[in-house]
Parts: sequence; structure tokens; C-alpha cells
Amino acid sequence: MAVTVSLCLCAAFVTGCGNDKRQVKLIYAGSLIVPFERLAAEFERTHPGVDVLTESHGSVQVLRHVTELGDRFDLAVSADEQLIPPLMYDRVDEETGEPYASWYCTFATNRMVLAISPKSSLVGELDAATWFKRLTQPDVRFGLADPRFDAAGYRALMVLQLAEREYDDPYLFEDMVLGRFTSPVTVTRDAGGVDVIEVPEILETQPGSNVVLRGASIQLVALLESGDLDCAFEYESVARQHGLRYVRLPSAIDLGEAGLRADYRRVEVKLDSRRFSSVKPVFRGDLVRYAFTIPANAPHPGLALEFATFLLGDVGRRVLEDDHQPVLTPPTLDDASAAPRKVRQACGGSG
Amino acid sequence: MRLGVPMPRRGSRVKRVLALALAGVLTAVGLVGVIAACGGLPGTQTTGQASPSVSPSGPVVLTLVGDAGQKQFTMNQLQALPQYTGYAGIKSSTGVITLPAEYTGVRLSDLTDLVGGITKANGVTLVAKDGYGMTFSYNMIMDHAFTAYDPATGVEQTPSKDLTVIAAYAREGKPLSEDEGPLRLMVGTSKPGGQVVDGHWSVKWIERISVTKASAEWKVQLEGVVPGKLDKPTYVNCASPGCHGSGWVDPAGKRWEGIPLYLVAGLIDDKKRHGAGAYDAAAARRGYDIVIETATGEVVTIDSRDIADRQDVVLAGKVGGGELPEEYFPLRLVGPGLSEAEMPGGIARIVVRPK
Repeated sequence: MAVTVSLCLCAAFVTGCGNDKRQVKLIYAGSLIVPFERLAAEFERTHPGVDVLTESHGSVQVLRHVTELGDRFDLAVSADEQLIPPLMYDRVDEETGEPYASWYCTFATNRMVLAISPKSSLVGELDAATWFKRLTQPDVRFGLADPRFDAAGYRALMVLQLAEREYDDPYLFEDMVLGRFTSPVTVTRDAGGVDVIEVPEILETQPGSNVVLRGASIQLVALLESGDLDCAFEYESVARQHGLRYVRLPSAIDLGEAGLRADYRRVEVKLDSRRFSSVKPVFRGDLVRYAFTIPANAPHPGLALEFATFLLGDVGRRVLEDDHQPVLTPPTLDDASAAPRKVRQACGGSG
Repeated sequence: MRLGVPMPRRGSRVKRVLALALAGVLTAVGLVGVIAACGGLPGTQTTGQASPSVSPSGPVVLTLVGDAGQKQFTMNQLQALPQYTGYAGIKSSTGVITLPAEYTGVRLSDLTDLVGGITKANGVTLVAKDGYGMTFSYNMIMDHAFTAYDPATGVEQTPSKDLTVIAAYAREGKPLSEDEGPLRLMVGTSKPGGQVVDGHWSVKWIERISVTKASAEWKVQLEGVVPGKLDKPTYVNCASPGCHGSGWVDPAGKRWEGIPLYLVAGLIDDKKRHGAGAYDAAAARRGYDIVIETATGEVVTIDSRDIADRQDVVLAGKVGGGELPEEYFPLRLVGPGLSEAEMPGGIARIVVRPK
């Protein structure tokens, strides 16, 4: 009897009466769902005793969860590196008196494409030479992510405006967008030559409009797959992950070519609504760059660092590339002096 | 709400019995009040009127602003308004469903009615204690214009006419927790298992609700050698500083900003709409009439020779850096040498015609 009790106690000690697994909590942009689910599984496989908990949203919401909503995560990943400084460096954790973050690591890229529904009659018709004219025609149903909620949305508007310069058609943006919304989306050219797209507070489509708006670009995938849309502006990685055909847009407008950064910066999207008190709702055209940080209040900083170096290492990079998520080689840091040594080393810097 | 009276710790048995009886009566009365206030069964609505004599005790939890002014409410006062109890859930941007739960609150349409109501020209902006803000359109509040999903599958559905927007203060009959309350915007249906909507609409910690003006589309009809139209996006584009924006400072020192009238005539004086040579200067020098008609039927005729190449005779959409007063919306013709009668506002149509 005593031996049995002792054995049971030993078993309980070894296995844990409760859940003794360690955890690492990730929050990331919705366009990373596919690769990050695989990354989480791979990390768990190579780190027995560790549970990877994941959550995903639009990038602004991702960072807001850490700051304004006070949730604690070990790694926060944004589809737009521009969002991290205003949302995390400029906001102070009331508990510690310190900024929520002081560095970020840019590790992946992407480009915008026009994904095509496999059920659309336009499958053979939409290509690099025809797409911009076809989208002006009312029989083509095309999808946009809502720029008020999703970076892919304001990036899609940038693509449409940059297309005016690329195709030398000063009415192209108007012809694709005009009359589609109950409150108009307008474009002005400021004194510096930057085209400023102004999105009204209320953005809803007119009844019968051929433009379909959804809160997140990932929601457009279901509509493409069902045939409820002919096409939609998506990240290339998402189109490839879902096996969708797509039109590869000119580099001059797809926000994916490093050498054309100055050209992308000739467009800006300004939101009339101020959704978050901490975010000035103005987004300048730029390369699509994914970045992560380890929040200063990460509940498991040791594991956070392990995951970060795993993400930047050979296995992490292979998982991303296998899922068509282009990686940045080498990854970069905005402030190497503020980043942990292991992250610096993973970015090719000194320890 | 506190019911009954504190029980005496000491005292005679008789006093304890009397106290019990009194507590019982007060409890019964209170329960009847609670049932009435909560509208009885779920999915129902009471039609009580807010009583001006409802005790305002407690902190202000909501500020309401509209055309008819501003009102502030304590929780007591909100709970005295007509209540709605329904079932609301959300779908996150990445497809995670939070199943519908029972929420009780006040319909947003009822709240806005208290400060003058809303029309299609309005939006309703909700601001939370952390500064998060969200604006709802008339169509969303009055016409269930949401993207809606089956909570069981997450599949998109035609939005139900039963979708109702409420400022909720109770969940499953209890006050909202600090995680979401004291007030949260929920969009629900009267029956359990109804549709859910996108989570970004469910504003937590609401502090302020304001009726705002929605940005309106407008169009000015153009007729000439070719027809055309000048709508807000085209106008805003052309009137920008990097494009054809220009202006005039009136004798009172106010700056009117817009597009030179001669350039607008250039949109319809020949088949070339835009770009170099779009404005037919030769035709303008020969002379034609530019007829400006307002929405109220006023007609002003301008000779093309008087405004040719003039940057300071403009169709103004802004004055003093801000929006035009309503009487001049959407455009007003202004410029030096024009009399007050020759500067009409509320322009609806511009015609270029030979003399």
C-alpha cells in the first residue's frame, strides 16, 4: 500500500498533477496564419514541454492588443513595420513606466497581386495588360480589404493610385473607385507631389456596386473560392498558399521591389476616422515589410527569445519559404543597440 | 440595485420577524421592477419612457451628442430607457467565432433619437475610454447593413433584418465586466443562435456617442461640346495644390479655394477633357457663354472672355481653410470684379454654349 502510494506520488511529480507545460504566446498579422501555424507546430515538436499559443488579427489590432488592451504576448508580429514605433515605442506601459517596445526586426516581405477566382469567367482574360481596364467595368466584381481595418486595404488603394502613373491614365483610380461608395474616396496631390488618398469615416459600398469590401483581406479568399468575387487584391503569399491564380502586377505598383521604394512613397492613404488614439491614421506608400518585436512586458521572455531565434534561423526560414512567404535576407533591426544579443546575432550582427 | 433592508444582528425575535416580513415585501416589489425593467423574456423590448425623475445617482457612464444637444447618463438613467435584450456574438478578422450570448441594453437608434435623431446624411461615432473610435453609418444602425455570418460555420450570409445595434450594459442578466463594460456596442438578433458580425464593430468601454455628418457625394452637371460631370472626387483631385488648385482672397480677407472656372469650362469646350490643350483658349477669346445654374434655379451667365486664363475666378469648395457654409454647398463661384449676385452658391449645372 505504501509502495503504491509512493509510486503514484512519484508519477504525479513526474507528469504534473496540473499542466506544467511552459508557454510562449504569439500574436501576428492574419496574412501569416498559414506559415505561423506550421512554425508553432515545428517549435513544439523541437521543444517538448512547450505549448505555443497563437492569436491573429489585422496588424493594427495585433499591436493594440499588447498596448491599449493590455494583453501580454511574447512576440508581436506586424505586416507593416511602420506601425510598431507609433503603437509601441510611443506608448508607455503604466505598470512599468517603460515603452512597450524599443526595437523591431524586419524578417519577411511580400507584394500585392490581383488574385483571381477559379470560378470566374475572367480566368483567361485578366492579365498584366488588361486588368486595370477591366476593373473599371461594372461587370467585374473585385474585392478590397477595408483600409480602415487592414493594411492590405490601404495598400490596395496605393496600388490603384500608383497604377495611374504607371499606365499614364490620370482617371484610372477614379474610374475604378468613383461612385462605388456612399461617401466618396478622394485623391489630392499635395504640394510635394504626393498623391493623398482620403478614406471617409464611413466606407460602405453603394447597393449594386462591383466593389466588395471586407474587414480583412483573408476574408476575401473565401469569396474568391466560392466565386462570389471575380478577383481581389491580396498578398502574393496568401494567393499562393490558397492555390489561387493571380495577376502579377508591375513592380512599379506592387510595393514589393526594394529599388522602387522612392516611387512607392509618392502615394499616401489618410483615414478620416481616428480608430486608435495612438495611431495617426496616415500611411505612406512603402515596401511590404513584416516585422516582429518581443514586448517589454512579455510574460515568458526567455522562450520569446528562443522562438525569435528559431524564426530567424534555418528551420524558421525554410517553413516561411515553403509557405510562399518571402524572407528578408538578412533580417534587419531598426535599432540593433536595443535588441537582445541573440536577435542581433541572428540578424548577422555582433553579439 | 440593493434589495430589502439589512437584517438586525441582535434584538428580539419579534423584531426579527417583522424585519423579515418587510424584507420580503421589498424584495417582491424589487423583483417585479427588475423583471419589468429587463423586459421579461429574452428578445423582447419594453416600451417604457425614460422618467425624468429617475435618480441620477452614480457616475456618468455615457455622453450622448447630437444636433439637438448633449445629454449625459448614469447607469440608472440608461437602464430606465427602453431596453432591448437579444443575442450577439462576433467573428474575428481571422475567422474565430465568439458565439452569441444574451446582451441587454439600449438600441442605438433610441439613443440617437434623444439628441435629434439621424438621417442618411449622418454617421454615429462611438468613442471608448482608451480612445478607440468607430463610426457607424445610418444604413448599419437603421437597416442592418453588416456583413453577417452563421455562428455555427462562419459562412457569410445575407444579413438578417433582425440585426439590431445596441449599447449593451448587461450580459446574461449581469452588468458587463471590466473587460468590456460598463457599456459595449453589440449587434444582435432577438433569437438565440442568430447571426454574428465582424468583431471590430463591437466597441468595448463606450464613453461617448456622437451623431456626426457623413461625407456626402455631390455632382455638378456639365454640358457643352461634350457632356460631363464634376463630382466630389474629381473636384477634390483637381483642386489640390499639386494640380490646379487656386484661390481668391475676398475684401473681408477670407480665402476661397477651388478650381479656376476657365479650366472647368475646358472640360467641355471640346472633346479633349484633360491635359495640355484641353482648354480651347482660341474659342474662349472668340467668346462663348458660361451659364451657371444653382439648385434653387438661379442663373448667372459669364462671358468666357472675362475669365479666360484667370486663376482668381474660381469655383470654390472651401473657404477659410474649411468647408463651405451650407448655403453655398457644394460650390460657389467667386472672384474679383464679380458682384454678389454674380457669385452664386449651390451650383448644380454649368453649361458652355455659343453666343
